[in-house]
This record gives sequence, C-alpha cells and structure tokens, in this order.
Amino acid sequence: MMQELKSFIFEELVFIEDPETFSSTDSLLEAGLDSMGIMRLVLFVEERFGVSLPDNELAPENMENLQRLEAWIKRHQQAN
Amino acid sequence: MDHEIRAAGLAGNFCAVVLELDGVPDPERLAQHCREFARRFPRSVARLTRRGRQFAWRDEPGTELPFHHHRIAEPGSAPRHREQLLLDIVSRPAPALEAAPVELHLVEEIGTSALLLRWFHPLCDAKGAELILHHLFQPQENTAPQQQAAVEALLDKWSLWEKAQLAWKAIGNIRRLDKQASILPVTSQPSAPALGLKLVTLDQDQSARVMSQAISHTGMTGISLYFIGCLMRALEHTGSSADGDAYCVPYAMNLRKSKALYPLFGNQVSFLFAQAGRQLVRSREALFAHLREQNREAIRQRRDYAMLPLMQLGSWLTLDKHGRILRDSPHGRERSSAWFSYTGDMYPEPTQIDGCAVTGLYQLSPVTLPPALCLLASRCAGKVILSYNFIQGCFSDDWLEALTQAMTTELLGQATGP
Repeated sequence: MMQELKSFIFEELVFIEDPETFSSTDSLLEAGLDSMGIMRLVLFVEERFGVSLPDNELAPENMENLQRLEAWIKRHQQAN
Repeated sequence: MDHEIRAAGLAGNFCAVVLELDGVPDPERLAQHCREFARRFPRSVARLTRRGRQFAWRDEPGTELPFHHHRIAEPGSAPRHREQLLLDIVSRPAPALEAAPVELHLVEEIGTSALLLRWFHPLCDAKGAELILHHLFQPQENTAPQQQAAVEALLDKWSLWEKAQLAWKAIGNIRRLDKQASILPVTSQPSAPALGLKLVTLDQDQSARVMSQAISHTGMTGISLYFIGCLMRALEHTGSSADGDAYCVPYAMNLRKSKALYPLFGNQVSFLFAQAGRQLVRSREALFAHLREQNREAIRQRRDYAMLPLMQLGSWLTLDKHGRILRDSPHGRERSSAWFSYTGDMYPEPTQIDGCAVTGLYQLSPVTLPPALCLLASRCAGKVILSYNFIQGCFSDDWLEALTQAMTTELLGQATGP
C-alpha cells in the first residue's frame, strides 16, 4: 500500500527531485502536498482501497507522512 | 477573456505580480536578468498570432524582454502615487497581436521600490507568472527543460470518447448552476472605464488567525473556499443587487504538481464554480459546510477536469461567442458575482531580489463588466494581502471601504450574527 501511495503522490501531485530518497516518515506537507493535492489523494485512496475517509479526520496528524497515512487508511479498512 | 476585458473598455488581459522591496536593486542588473531570461525562455518574447479562429505563439528571435525603470519622486517634481503608477503600467494598452507577453518594471521611490512583472494572460497563469519571477533571478540554471502544459497533456491523454463524456458532464454542471441567477454587485455605468486597486494587508497575527479560521471552517482542502465564502458574506452584508438567487464565484484549479518549477507557459488551470443561495450565505456555518461539500463532490465527479474538453471545443468558436458562453447564462445574465484567485504561498518564496528584501507580494488583474470586481489573495512573509481590483466608476469609495471592512471582519471570524 505504501508504495502505491508514494507512486501516486509523486507521479501526480508533488514534484521532488528524487522520490526514491523520500522515506515513510518524511513530511508530505513540507514536501508540498497542498489542499488540492490532499483532495485528489483522498479520492484516490477511497477508490483504490475501498474506504470512506471522514471529512473531519482530514487533519495533519493523519496526513503528515506516508506512515501515518497508511495507518489511517488501514484503521478504516478494518472498520469497514 | 482578453477580448471580453477589452470590450469592457480596459486595456486587455494584462495582469501583474508585484513584489515590494526594502531597497532599490541595480537597474542594469535587472536588465541583464531580462536578457538572460529571454535567451533561456524564447517563448517569453514571442508574439501572439492568429491562425483562422485559433491562436498560437510565434517565436521572435532577437527580441528583448522589455525592462522599464520608473522613478516616483524625482528632485523638483511632484511626487506620484505608487499605486496609480502601477495601475498605469498594467493598464497601458497594446494590441493583442503586438503585446510583449512579459515585461519587468522597477518602480523606484526613495529607499524602497516595487518590482512589477506585467504578463499577458494567454501566455501563462498566475502561478506561471510567479515561476517567471523565480527563474528571472536564478541565472545558475542554464537549461530550461521542455515541458508540455498540464492541460495539453491531459487532453492528449484522453480518448475522443472520454473527452465527449467529460464535456457532457461540464455542460450538465453549468446547466445546474444556471438554474439560479447570479447575484451581482450593484454597479454604476462608468463614463471612462479604468482599473482601480485597493490593497489590504493583514499583519502576521491577523494572518495566522485567518489561516486558523480557514482550516477550522473549510478544512485543509478548502483554504480558497474560506476566502470565497467570506467574500460572499461580505458582498451580502455590503449590499448587492436585490434580484438574483445565488452568489457564484469561479475559482481556478492549478493542475501543476505542487512545487514544480516547470512548466512556466501555457494553460495549467481548470476552474470550478462555488455557488450558494442568499439564505445559505447568511449562515456562516452552513455556508462553509455547503462550500466544502460542493467542492468535494465536484472533485469526486471530476468536474474540474470536465471543463477542459469544453474549453478546447470553445477555442474553435469566434471570440464573441466563446466569451458569451464562458460568462453568461442562457438568459444572457453574467454568471460570476465576482472574480477570485488565491495563489497561497509563492513557491519558491522570494525572500530577496538582488540583495533587497521582499516585504510584500500581491497580484493585479483586470476584470469584465459585469461583475467589475475581482479579489486576489496572496500570502507572503506570513502576511495575507488582499488585492481588490475593480473598474473605477462602478462602485463608490464608501461601498468599497465597507466591502473591504466586511471582508476583513469575516476572515478574522469577528462578524456578529449567524
């Protein structure tokens, strides 16, 4: 899952020189994930992983890095 | 829109990014930056050319990127107001097929200056203009990679069938929007249209409060929507036309990757409409919840992408017809209650230009009549700057003052009532 998220983010949403060096704990927000990017990422996640991510949980603590993002998605996958 | 803006009596779709500086950079060095930039980016000195109903850029090798040095206060002469000079620069007319697509202007006062990049909108969008400013002052990057415009890339990727489906979706969305007549600001008919400007700069504490309010009311994904909602409420509070059902404000969707330094030129934006009925606008909480959900649904339905094939089809129409379709409902009424843009933080953030610290940044844009009003919001050095652009003579000074006060009150979350 993490690799798919990373591929989507750096192919579609954010430009960085070398995505291979981006770790699971590096900040996505500091890398440049902006409000539109977050919106598109959420829609990708919902379609790809079959979860519904509540609007009120769209917060930095769930989107700060790939590790937190994956954990957030998996919580909702288990809930579903 | 250049055609539409000229029809309103303004110079054309000439926009500007302005950097306020705490010193005066060397004009010779600025001129050198322009020469190097034109060499690296030949498109910046091209000219628009007509091919039937379509337009294209014609390279003009050897043409310079114009640089102009203005002095406001010269010994022995009457001081000129800086804002009026900036407006004069942006409003200097030029035929579309002859206009320099990019110009750099240094407006020098005593000890401070403003750097204005004037750009012709078909060349690029507001983010593209910010990237032009970045690359103008980054001479160490010697080669500019060729990159396709984001809109072109998407249109090339889609099959004819996919484009037809998206275009049909866009038409359906516009029909839904047009079921409600847009509320317009009340305007007078100006005798001699000219672009006007009113700037409001919030301090760092106020700006931090605005961003906190935005995240609280419209979430991380809706900063633009917070500004739009506040604008709708400010217009309602200040007084708009009695007829009309809903406020309707278009907003741009930047299709570039975040933090991408290329491409500079070409169309990189699509757009959506934020719409809310008068009753909804009167309730702050309900309005923001509505705008958030409206945006989320629009992205989910790919309505932002849906506009692109429609825009491509529109490029085959006459300028008059294309303009009318973009602006008017089937009843001939202007669709936009006001124009709006939020460019957020400039990336890379310009902290200095040739040794002079950047103390402020804002944008200028002409607008059609109606609606005669455009709000451009930017952030620089932690400060939110609101650039109100309007057609002079359409609004009274009192009305504009009331609008800007109401907008600031709404942004800070200090409005009383629902």
